[in-house]
Amino acid sequence: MSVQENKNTARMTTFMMVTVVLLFIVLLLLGFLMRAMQGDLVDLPAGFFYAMMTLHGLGMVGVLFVGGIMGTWYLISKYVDVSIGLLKFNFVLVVLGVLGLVVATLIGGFGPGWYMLYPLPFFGEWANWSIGAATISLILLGVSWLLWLLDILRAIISRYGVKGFLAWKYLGGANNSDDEVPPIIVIASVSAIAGAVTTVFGAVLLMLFLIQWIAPDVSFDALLLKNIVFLFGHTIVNITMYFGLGFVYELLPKYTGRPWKMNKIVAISWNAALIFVIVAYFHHLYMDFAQPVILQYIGQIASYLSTVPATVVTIFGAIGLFYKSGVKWTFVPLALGLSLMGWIIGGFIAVVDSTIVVNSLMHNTLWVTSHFHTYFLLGFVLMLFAFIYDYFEMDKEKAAKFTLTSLLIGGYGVIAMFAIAGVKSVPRRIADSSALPYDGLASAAQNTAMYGSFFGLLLIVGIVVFFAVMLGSLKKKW
Amino acid sequence: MTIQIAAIVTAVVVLAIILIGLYVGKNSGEKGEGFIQKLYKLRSIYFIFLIGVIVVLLVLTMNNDAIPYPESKTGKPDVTVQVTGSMYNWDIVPSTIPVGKVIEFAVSSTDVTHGFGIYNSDGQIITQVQVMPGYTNKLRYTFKEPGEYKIICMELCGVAHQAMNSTIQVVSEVETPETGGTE
Repeated sequence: MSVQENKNTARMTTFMMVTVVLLFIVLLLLGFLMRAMQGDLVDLPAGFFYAMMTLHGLGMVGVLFVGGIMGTWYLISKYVDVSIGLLKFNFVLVVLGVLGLVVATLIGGFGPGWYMLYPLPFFGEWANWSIGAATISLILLGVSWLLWLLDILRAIISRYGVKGFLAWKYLGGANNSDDEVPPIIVIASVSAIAGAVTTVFGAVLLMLFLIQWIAPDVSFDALLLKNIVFLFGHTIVNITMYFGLGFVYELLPKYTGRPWKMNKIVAISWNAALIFVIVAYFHHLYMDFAQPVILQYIGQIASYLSTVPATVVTIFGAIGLFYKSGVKWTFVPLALGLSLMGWIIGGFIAVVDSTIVVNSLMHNTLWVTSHFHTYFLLGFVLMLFAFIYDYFEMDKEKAAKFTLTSLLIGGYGVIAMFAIAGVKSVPRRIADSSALPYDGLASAAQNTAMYGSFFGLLLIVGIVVFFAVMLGSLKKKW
Repeated sequence: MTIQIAAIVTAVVVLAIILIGLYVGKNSGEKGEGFIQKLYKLRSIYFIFLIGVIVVLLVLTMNNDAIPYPESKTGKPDVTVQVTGSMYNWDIVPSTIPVGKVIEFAVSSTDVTHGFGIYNSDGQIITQVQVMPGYTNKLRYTFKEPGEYKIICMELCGVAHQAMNSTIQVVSEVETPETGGTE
């Protein structure tokens, strides 16, 4: 019996996915509230804006990562013996970590943004205890993620071996007649390696934070810590996207009737992605002129090259699966197809900004915000919802397509407002648009935020409908 | 100009992605075979095209003329401006600087990381650099137009971050022969 057939697997997956979507909706509401504040529709203190923003950012990164790894865990449990016991332990750590973050931000006022750029956490106007609470909460999350990633890696290597887990045997000319390695296995391995290695760095960073919180006289090098936080943060966000792509590779064949085969090109592509994802983070430090120039160049080269495996292999692969397949356009294939478009569009916006000369103008404008919202909201979230719909056998096409429509109109509306504001040089993370020192800039910030909040509301309605349908389908998995 | 190019290129590519998506979507409903060799051929062409575009763009954008880093700049600046960021103020000396001269902003911070963003009179950002404690980042810029330029903090630095703005005056040298920092 595979782990997937175990009753506890279904229960834990259900439990985790309900938690993920519920938290996702709460975090979306914070996003709406922030845009409403920037659009002058709501008047709240600036400190509360930054606290909400910190929770929204950390929360989204965490919740979507958990959705991605949970879905991957479930899908690969068909092939490998992942640990159910560890999953239960992780669930507890994740819930504790999230609760701690909610308390630290919304009650303690902790508001240095999701990447907690050192040394801001120690200089802010928030309660001193909130620094420790946030750090400890993140350590709990980090521990659970690290264990989770390592367990996935352990399970895969013990089943597929050293030559199989990254599909290296295909590089030497093996074919699928000798023990096929499904693409999702390689994607999970790539994500687990990149995630585990960089989570260790993240853990070191959090320990340093803890030391300074306990002994405030200690201080560290700001540039080094910025490198570490982005090595970790950039990678964790990108492997979340990889988990979503794993859903596409695994689910799409079921709906188009064509297999997604592992071969030499797919193997090369994902091994290359492993390297690019780890070194591309340098593009977050372009505006730190003290960083060695060679690293800046590596950042741009890796960012540009990451488009090669993404489009040449995954997009062409998906086209090969869709084109003239006779697919029935039900929710899952539709969401998966659209998610790939969102992923590529978001990726392209990022590649534009990963050009050093462009970054000199776009860095920390709302252009950046438009990129990762496209990538997540119209890429990963659609992949996650496709997984959830398939997993819960939801079978409510009308409602699901309403969700899809509201996500497309609302989501692209949200993103367009960020992008337009970015082109107009509106900085990101501004609690109060009217504080901007030009009338034109302030009104551009305010108007795009106001329309953005309307679009945001539309997409939240669609997602609440999806959640309701999901809850209605729980019995099938309990 | 760079922003406009970036925006237009993005719009064109997004449109292309949508059109390709629609085309594939429209042709997926009916069953058919025998296209896979064509697709592989198209993929090879696209691969070569993509590598070509990447190489050209890297060469065009990653050279000493294009990148903003001090290592790529030769010669001495005409004026050095000392910029110190602290929650939530900018200390800029001198704050009146000449047009058409190579200005070097030597930026540092007394507390957290700030972002030194320079905006022109149209409210468009023209250049920026991060302001990190423990480091002095050197940003060179030559102003082409005289006038009032605003400094906006580009990195979240605390609860009053949104209000961390300042002003510099760029003047033709005739107007201010006493400009302090001119070397």
